Amino acid sequence: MSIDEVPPEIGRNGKQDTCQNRYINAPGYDGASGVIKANKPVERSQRQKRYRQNGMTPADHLATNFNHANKINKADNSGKPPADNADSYEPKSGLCPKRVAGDDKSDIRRNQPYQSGGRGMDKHRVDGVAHDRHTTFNGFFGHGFFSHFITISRSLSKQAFCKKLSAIALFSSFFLSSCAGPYSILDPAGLSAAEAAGLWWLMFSLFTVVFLVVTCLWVYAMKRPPGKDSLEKEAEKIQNRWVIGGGIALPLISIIIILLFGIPAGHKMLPLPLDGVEILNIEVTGRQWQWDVYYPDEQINFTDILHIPVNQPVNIYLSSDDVIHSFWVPRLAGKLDAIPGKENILRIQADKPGIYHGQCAEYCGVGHARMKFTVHVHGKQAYKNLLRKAQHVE
Amino acid sequence: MSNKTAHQKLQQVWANLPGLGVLAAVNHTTVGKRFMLTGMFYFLVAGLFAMLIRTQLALPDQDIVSAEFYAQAFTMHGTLMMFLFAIPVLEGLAMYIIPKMVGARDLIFPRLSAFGYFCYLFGGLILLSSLFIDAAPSTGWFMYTPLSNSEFSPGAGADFWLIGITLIEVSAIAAAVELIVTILRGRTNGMTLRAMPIFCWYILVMSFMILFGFPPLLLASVLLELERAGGWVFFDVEGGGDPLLWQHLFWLFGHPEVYILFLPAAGIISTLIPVFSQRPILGYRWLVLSAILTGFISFGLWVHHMFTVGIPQLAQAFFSIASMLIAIPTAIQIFTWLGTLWVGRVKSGLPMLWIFGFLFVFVIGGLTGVMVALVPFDWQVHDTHFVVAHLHYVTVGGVFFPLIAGIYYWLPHFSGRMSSGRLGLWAFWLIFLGFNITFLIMHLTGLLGMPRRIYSYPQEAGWGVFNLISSGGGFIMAIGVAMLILDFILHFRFGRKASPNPWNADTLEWATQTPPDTYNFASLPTLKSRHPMWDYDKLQDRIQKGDFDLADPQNGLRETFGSDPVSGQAHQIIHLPSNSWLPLQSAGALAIVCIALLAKSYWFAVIAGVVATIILLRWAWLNGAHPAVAPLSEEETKTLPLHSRTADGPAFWGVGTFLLANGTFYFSLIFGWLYLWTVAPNWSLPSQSPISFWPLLVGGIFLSLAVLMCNRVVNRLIKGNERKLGQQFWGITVAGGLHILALLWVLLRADLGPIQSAHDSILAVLFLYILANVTVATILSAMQAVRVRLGIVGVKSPCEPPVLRLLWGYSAGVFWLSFAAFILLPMGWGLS
Repeated sequence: MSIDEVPPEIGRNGKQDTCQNRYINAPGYDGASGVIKANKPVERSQRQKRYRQNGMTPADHLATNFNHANKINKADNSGKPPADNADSYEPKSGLCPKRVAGDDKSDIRRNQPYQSGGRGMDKHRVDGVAHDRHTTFNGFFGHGFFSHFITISRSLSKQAFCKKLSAIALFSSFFLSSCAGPYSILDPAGLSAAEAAGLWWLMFSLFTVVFLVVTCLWVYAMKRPPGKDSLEKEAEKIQNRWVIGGGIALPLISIIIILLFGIPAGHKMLPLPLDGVEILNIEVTGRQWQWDVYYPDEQINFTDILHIPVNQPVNIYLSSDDVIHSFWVPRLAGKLDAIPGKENILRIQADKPGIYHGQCAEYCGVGHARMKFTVHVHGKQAYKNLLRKAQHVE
Repeated sequence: MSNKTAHQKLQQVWANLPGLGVLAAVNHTTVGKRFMLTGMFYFLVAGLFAMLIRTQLALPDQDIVSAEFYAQAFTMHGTLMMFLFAIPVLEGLAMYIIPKMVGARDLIFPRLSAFGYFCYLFGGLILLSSLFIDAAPSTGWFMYTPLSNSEFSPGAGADFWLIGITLIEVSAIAAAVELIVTILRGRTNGMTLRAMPIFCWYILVMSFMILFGFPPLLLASVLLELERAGGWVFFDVEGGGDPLLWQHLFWLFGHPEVYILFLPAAGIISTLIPVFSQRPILGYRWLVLSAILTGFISFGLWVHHMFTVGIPQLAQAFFSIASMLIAIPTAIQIFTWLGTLWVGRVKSGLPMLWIFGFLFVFVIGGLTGVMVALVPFDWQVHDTHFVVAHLHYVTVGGVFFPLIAGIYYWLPHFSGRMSSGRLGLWAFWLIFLGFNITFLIMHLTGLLGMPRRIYSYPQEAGWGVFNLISSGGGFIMAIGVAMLILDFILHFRFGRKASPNPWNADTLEWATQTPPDTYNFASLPTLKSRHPMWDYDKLQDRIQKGDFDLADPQNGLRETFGSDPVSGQAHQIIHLPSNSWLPLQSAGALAIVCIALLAKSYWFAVIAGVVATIILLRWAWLNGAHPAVAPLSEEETKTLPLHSRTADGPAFWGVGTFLLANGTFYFSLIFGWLYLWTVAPNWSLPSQSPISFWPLLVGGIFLSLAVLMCNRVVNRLIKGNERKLGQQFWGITVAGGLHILALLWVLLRADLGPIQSAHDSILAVLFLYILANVTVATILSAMQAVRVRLGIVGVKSPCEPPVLRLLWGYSAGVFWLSFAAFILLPMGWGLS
């Protein structure tokens, strides 16, 4: 993927534009790297004290938001991304998303390398979607858990079969191609998100079967003539059979299967220390309605933006200055709440460079819908350069 | 005596008052229908909010409503649906059906059910009124702090929620007490627990769950209101509180709530399936066991709403597995029903169609429920539209569909008419399709990362198409609901007359007239079978002819059997109160208290509170053998005694059941104390307890003295000894009074600072709680003394003192437990 294809920010579009430009020369703003100068470094130990001390007026946070918007705008307006950001978007071998369900979706994905929503009418994207339809259609037959559709279809008459099949194919291609998106859980780009997506496909296929079996049995039970089963003795046997088989064994087996996969997956997501791997620590504090980001080692502050190196585990120390927020970058990892008076640690790790979108997931007041942020994932060197530059500004 | 005059006599005793007098009606058929109708009204309002939400979300970047109004809309939608529609309608249905199913003439505490209804009505109206003064709550139906505290929600919105919902919870607890005692003590002669219709088991478990599930939220609401209005500290980190305490208390209520809704619905299904299969249900015992298991497990999984707040991994694993295990009793029920259908010859019908809808929708909801119980997956989908889809599949599938099935099934019972086939069919398919279109696709919207409670989203997020589909489905569903309501309304006018037992059902409620007389049964049969309508010949006719017991209302009393909770052997006749204005008056006074609190005119609230207390005491006065109720006469010659002539009256059971809820409230407070102590970051115990140890201990000794005296009095009374009864009650009153004085002295000397510290806030709440309990017991003791003097209570009418003993015992238990937890424990902590 070349530099030209770097998708612009979401904030680029829409009404915000008009007011953004007014703040184009906001003080302390370094257009090149999108850094906001820290007014004063904040130690982690200060966190408790900070709580509620940032008595913020509406004007305050408005200004910060505009700063943020401006920063996004500027990066885009500069025509080409700054040179020192260049290698952050270098193609990497890990560019294709991880295969999540051991099936053939990866070749669909290969055509959808958008890390962010970008602008809808990007030529590449249009081509890509058209191409997807095709691959998905082919891929459809290999799909284990869609095969029931086929089985059902086969039982219909031949003519109807063709019609139904194409309808189903269209539907499922629509369905699968729509798995991508700037916030999609099903388009993972990080370790934790990939585990969660894998669990989803596992449970989806298993439970689709369970659902169909139970519903079909139920319909059959309503339609069938009871015959001699209605005798008390037979009925007793049938009751025990269904209760033990369907009522106890079925849920127990299902639960055991998903726990067998779920427990190791959950374990991998935890912020545990790793042997020989350096973990980057970042402090993120939510407040109505923005995210304050602080790098304790480098003593740099950002707002609504995180920069992290690719393929390195990052521990995010989450807290809140006011109400409860929740930090969530769907394509990288699950969410964790930012709670006043508490520090939660979330582990994220990105597979490939790019821009990933995040948002507040816990209702936090009228600004909740607009409480968004981005995670910029850079190549190792680009990340170092960027931080050095940011420190220099400090 | 001819059959007709017997009916006339019963009618005279049981009829509601004419004209405006219906407001004084206490009859369960009337009250149950009122609950259901009012609930339907709130349902329509809540549905309106849902339509607003779907309109706003239909397209990206829409600005039809503001973020502020959108927040009010989703808050009101959730609150109305959960608190004002689902629970009251199901409770109303249970109130209507249960007495008829167990062969009773009314619920055991008719005035209490009327009181519950008015609390519900007024609470709901208070909540709704906030819309018209532009102060609707806007922090979500879960009201998380700190967002809902006075700093971040400065308006009156949150107060409307907290106070309105508290009234509604009072109503739910009243109904639960009512239903439990009716099921356990009101069954007709000979109906053993095992012969009880399965619906009663479900309602019994549901009612117990309400007793244990609602008090945590009641406590949380009181605490949050104290924090908002009085500046006390419970959830604020700075003063030693913790916002997560709110979440724990809320979900301690909130999760059982889901099963409180599901169990009666499952009861409806278990009632309908055997009728439409025309054979007894398979696995009656499995179903009872599953219902009870569900009740137990559901209290052990509230934390699964809190997987993203950062709790220890071990706790997450525990609650995750517990959440999955609840699938087992649910699956047992589904396969038991399947078994019954398997061996029966199934008749089709509108109710069965709705039950099929239930199965389809609920199984999907159950399966996605197991998915979200898996923590690593929940971290992704929590608070997204995936969960919105899941919860609608569970609640609409598990509550709404069975409820409509039940309403169609009992419609001929309400009106004596059958519904039209065609319109109902259309309504079903529109709702079924509309629902699935709306919410099936919403799973995908959630997986694509759309969070809950956002009022607008950008085009680029890629959620537009799916939201448009969901909104379209939502409107189809709305049309279906309109047709459903039309069908209900039209059938009263145009439905053809129903035969006496139109579905050939097995349970006793079909032995009444349709629509039923206020007294249900002209005579009360002795029954041994679980399927009386199938096993007894011409049961309905014989009941109406007065072939069985209590056919003649002697002394003009409303009478029904009071029976043994297990064997169902009738051992007394319960005389029920007649029409009464007390419920309306007391609920009205409480509503005025609430409005005064909202208006922050606290003196007015105190005055209204005193008035409410006086009305409630008047209510307690008009009981037992009071001359206006059931005066003692020279000849008490009935084969069975009236309940007021025994020491085992229903009041004992009612108060006992209520104390379960009261105790849960208290334990929630202890939970809060221990939770803040161990978890809150800024919690601090003062080095010297503000409570003076010795005066409190002396106060405790007075209390124990009162309990011992009360115990002795009651034991002697039951043995037939009423010597110096009045003086002894005065003695108990004095001991109680001394205890109150000691408590007040300790409290005033303690100089608590609830505005500074969570420690002092909780202590203050605890003291107020203990004082309230003891004050009630003391006042009632004085009342007993007066009643002894007036000859209302004595050896011939000993039903009240055992109730008083229960209250004193409870007060003492609470006091000494508190002494251990709040005084001794911190002392021990300081020493070690």
